[in-house]
Amino acid sequence: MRFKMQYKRKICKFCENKDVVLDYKNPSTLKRFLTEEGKILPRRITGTCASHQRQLVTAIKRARNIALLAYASDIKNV
Amino acid sequence: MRNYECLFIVNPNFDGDGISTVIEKVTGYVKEADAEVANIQHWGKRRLAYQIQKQQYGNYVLMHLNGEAPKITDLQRSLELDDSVLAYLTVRLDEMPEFDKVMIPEDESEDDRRGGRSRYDDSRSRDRDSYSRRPRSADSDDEAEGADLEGESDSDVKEAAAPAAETEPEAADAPVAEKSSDSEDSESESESKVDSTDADEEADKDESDDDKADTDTDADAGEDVDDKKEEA
Repeated sequence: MRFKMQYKRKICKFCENKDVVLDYKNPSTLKRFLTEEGKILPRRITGTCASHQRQLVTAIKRARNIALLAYASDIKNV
Repeated sequence: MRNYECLFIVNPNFDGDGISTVIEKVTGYVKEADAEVANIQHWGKRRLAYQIQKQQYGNYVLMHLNGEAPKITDLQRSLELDDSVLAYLTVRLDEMPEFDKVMIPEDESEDDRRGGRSRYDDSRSRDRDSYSRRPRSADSDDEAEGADLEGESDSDVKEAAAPAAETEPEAADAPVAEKSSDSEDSESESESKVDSTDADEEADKDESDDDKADTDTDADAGEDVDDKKEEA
């Protein structure tokens, strides 16, 4: 079986669905844009547009500050 | 006057009446800062993403304020000095939200103690979807079988699906399958295999439409040779 790369154009989740509120008080939606260690995923992987990525980053950093999200988790060392 | 939103974490050792006294104390700070409290929302006890002052849990309280910027820094200072407040975050808002619509986020932290497991969970659920998708063609056969052998239907779902299956033309095919249920299973497996290979061929066709025809036909021919080798 030969596998071919199938390119699918990524669409910004927040542009696609206007109902999703981009807010630091909503950690469950923010978690989709983090790695398992809690790092912020780059735009090229998630497909978020530039303006929403900026809002996303501030929201994630606020959520980290108030302990709704972890700064880092040692999932690799478990 | 500007709109602010202040989220602070109260030490969980101040439980019950303790929290209301802490909230009263903080509203006192707000009044000292010449600000008005527009709304107070108590989220309850939640697990913190990381320990603060060796506390694993905290009581989150959300406050909406109207105030002036220099005075809000005084509020922040008094929150900093208060021992019962583990952490606080003050954010300036462009507009006051409708307080009814301010949602309290669900506390998922009990499930993922290490944090950031949501992506792992997503992938698992995706796998589950693909599993459920693959035998769906076989499932329809099972439903038809369940219609004929009503006593053997295990789950309620199958029972519910059985009457629908009777009306469908599949019920006509089902008695034939009923005679040799063992062979039918093998048939359904082979069908699913055939389906998957068909899907792959279709995908290849689609790609060949997109790509240059010459290179793709060559590649497909090579694939066929490989498949034959595998079969041999």
